[in-house]
Amino acid sequence: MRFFGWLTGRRQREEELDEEIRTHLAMAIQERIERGEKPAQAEANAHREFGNVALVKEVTRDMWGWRWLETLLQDLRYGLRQLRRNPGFTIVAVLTLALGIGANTAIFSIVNAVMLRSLPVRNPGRIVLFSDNPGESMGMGNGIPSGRQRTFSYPLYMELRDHSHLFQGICAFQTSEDTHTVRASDATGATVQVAQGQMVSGNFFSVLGVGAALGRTISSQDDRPGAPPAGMVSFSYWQNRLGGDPSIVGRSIDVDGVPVTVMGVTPMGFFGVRMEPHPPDFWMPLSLRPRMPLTMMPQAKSLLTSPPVSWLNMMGRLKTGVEKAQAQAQINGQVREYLMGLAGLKMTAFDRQQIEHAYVELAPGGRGLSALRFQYSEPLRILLVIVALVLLIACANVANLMLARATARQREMATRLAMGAGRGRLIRQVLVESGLLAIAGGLAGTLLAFWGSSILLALVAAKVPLDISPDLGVLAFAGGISVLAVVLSGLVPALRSARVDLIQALKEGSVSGGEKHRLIDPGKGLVVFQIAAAVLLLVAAGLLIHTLFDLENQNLGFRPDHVLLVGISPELAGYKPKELPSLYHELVDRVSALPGVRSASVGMQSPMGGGAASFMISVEGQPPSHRREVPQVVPVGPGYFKTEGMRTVLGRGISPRDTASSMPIAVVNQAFVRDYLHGGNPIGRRFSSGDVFKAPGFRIVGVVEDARFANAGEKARPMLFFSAYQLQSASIFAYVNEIEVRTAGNPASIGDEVRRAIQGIDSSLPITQVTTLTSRVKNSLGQQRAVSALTGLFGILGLLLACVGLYGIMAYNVARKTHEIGIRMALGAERSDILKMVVGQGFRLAMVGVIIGIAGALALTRFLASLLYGVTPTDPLTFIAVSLILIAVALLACYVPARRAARVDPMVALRYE
Amino acid sequence: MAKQPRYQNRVELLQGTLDMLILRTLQWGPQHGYGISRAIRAGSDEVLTIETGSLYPALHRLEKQGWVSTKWKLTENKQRAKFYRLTATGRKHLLAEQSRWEEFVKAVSGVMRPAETDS
Repeated sequence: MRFFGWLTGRRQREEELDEEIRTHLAMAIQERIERGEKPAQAEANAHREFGNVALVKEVTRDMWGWRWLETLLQDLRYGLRQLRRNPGFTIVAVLTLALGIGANTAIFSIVNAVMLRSLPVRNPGRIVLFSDNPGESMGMGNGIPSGRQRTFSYPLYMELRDHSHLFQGICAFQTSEDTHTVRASDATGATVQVAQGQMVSGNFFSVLGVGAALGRTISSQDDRPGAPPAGMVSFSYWQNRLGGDPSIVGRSIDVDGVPVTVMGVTPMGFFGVRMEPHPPDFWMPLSLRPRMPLTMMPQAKSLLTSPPVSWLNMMGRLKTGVEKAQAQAQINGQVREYLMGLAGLKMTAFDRQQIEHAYVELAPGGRGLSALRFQYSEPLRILLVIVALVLLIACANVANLMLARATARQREMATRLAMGAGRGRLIRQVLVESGLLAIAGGLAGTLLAFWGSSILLALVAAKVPLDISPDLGVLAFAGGISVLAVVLSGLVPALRSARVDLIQALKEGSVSGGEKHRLIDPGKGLVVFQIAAAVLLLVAAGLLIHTLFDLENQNLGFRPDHVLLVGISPELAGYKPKELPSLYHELVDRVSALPGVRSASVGMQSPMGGGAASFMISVEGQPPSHRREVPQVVPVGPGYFKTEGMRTVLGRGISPRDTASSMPIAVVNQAFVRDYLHGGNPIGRRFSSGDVFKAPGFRIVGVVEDARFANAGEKARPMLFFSAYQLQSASIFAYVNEIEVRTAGNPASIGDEVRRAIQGIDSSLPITQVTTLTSRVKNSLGQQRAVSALTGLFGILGLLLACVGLYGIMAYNVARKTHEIGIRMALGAERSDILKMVVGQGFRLAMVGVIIGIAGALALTRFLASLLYGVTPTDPLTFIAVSLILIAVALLACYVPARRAARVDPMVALRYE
Repeated sequence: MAKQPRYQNRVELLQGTLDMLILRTLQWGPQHGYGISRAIRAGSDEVLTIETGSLYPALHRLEKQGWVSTKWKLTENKQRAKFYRLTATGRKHLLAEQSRWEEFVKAVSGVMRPAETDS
């Protein structure tokens, strides 16, 4: 209201000022006439004496205050009118900016979700993690802990929880979620649902400061041995699986046969503290662990009392005023003291040394524990640089468009200058116009980003519960980027337009001829920069795509085609270890008999199935050593190697005769022979678990080719394959998770038949997933694929924008030089000469850009090295290919304007203007 | 190309003095902008010419300060014009300015006089 009052008051004053000046002039004229001057002369003299009316008004208005706002409104109105009058220019400029800003905002919203956003907990800045995600996990073994500790035993947790006075509280949670069978008490059907459960300490929710959306959170009271089983379900599980029924609170659900009372529902945005594809569906107190029938872990019954079993992660909330370093020093002292006490009198000098090297690193925990963050922080950083380059190219384009238009508007600018406008005002006018473009581009780009980032995220991490909805950070980023775009795209044209030569510009017809020759034409400079930036983008994209190609076509050590993988869980179905061999036999026999099946086997996991369990070993006749990489262990059935397509290079594979009653055997891979046996003949060598060899141990009977197990980009690690039929005494090695089937035809097509066959044997045996090894390989390359796809996409975007820039400047030059071309043709130049001239000009620009870009790329691609595999950062093939592509596309972009130039009719051209 | 004249710079140099001259002119009664410039020119024996680019900003500034008030009235030639009138605070300000000016003139004269006797 006040604003409008101010506006109308303003208008009135404006009119009054007009009238005041008119009166002044009238009086002056009258006086001069009275003095005897002729009326016409009197008027001219009075006006000369008065000076520049517009300027007098302007400086007078300055005295009113608020002038900048008023002129800004004027500039805005004028700018809008200008943009409306040139819809083609406006659309291209807004679209270009929208792409640049959109790409940046989309990538940033993923960065925000993956790397910056905090868990929805109270005061996340005070939460610390007891060691963040590792690159490598530690071997379990029976050795003394050493190095960085990130998993802890229950007794150690209790010790730290109760004796660390620098924390408001320390909570613990199981290192991984377990799959449980759930039967809701209203039992809609006989089918068993599978759900993810996480065991947490009773103070988990209170330490994090997470409340309950419904009911109450589980508390320390629920986490006492002997307390009635209590649990909390996630919001999405409650909505999707329990029908969103509020009366669920206080009801009991059946988890693996144990009736658990639902105490409450967590808030909607809470996905636990681990940002992983399958967030927990429910949470239960740690003290319930031994009562759960699951025996995934060997010493399940003694988990709460056994010091050597580390199965917990810890998080703590620091007291106000306590520094992280201070708390870390205290915790480390406590951990070492505890470990020393545990080792007691038996402690050897070696043990002591190990313990002294054990440490906990308190890491900021407000963002939770995210493997994704570790996996993607490097690629995301690189993507941010890449989209920044795209934005620069886009801004250069808009700047170029505005420059071309500024030349066309030279006379307008000169007229305004002559009418008394200050140069500052003209610069501001141009900046206001680019500001309007950037605002429109920013809005469109932000919309584009919100729509695009979910697609990008699907590329990056399909099922991770990431919240990428726009928050203040993302919006602020989009705003900031837009402001940057204004400055980047408007400054050069603005400064340029204010440097108009008044007299030259006002002279009729001088616009095309009067251009001064500068050392570097800003328009051409921008195009060179765009091409150089596009080269950088394409080189990065080329290197990543080359990497992906190498990864996809490398020798994986197995044959992924024609393999169906069916996940099963005999453990969940309640099988005892000694019942397993006959189950396996029956499963393999039944599946093998299906038509179209070449072979079938069972195994703990297949290649690309993620990290396997590791197992510290010592080889007979070798001193203990902790320096070697702990081998990974995969229990498999007979026929596993044949089914997976892994070549046996020495000795034999697992045979049906390797049972509980025969000598324990193992098949090793080539990396094991290299690392542990120093390349000697492995057949017949023996090893056992732990750091000292104990007879009889396992006898090595064969060697298989190195296969990539965790992911396609890893180096081969030492591996051991045991017979799943042999080790019923160690349950961790007896249960398998998968049936592998090699088929003659498309493996996916017989999935249902295999499923029916399995259910025909035992309908209660849960089938966790059905997939193919090919899609596993593909998924394991998901990150590389996503990063190279995005980089490629942005590279092409950058290339297109750069070409639009080149095309624009060439087309503009041709239009401006129509006159010159006409003269040349009139003087006898052939069309081919003109074509050569124009293409040559564009080609020179492109070449300069390519050379600068290649030089830049040579200097910068080493920062990509961590994402490359089998390709050097200066891969000549990529560099040459990119240069050729750019030159070809640049020539094409010049060819169209050149053709137009060559078609110039000399007569028309000379009459032109 | 030549730098455009900016009146503002000169206003700043003259600011205090110009304001004082205007207020002084208005002591004899309300006057319009043209009348003020004419009065100052006549009062200074055609030595001081007030540029319109300084006069109007100064008048509007004085109005904003509250030292003058404005009214649209008819002149003796029956022409509608904006008349500026000295207000009470304006009068007080003028007195203060005037004594400051006199001190200033005295001080400058004190410095200049010995030089005059020398020559």
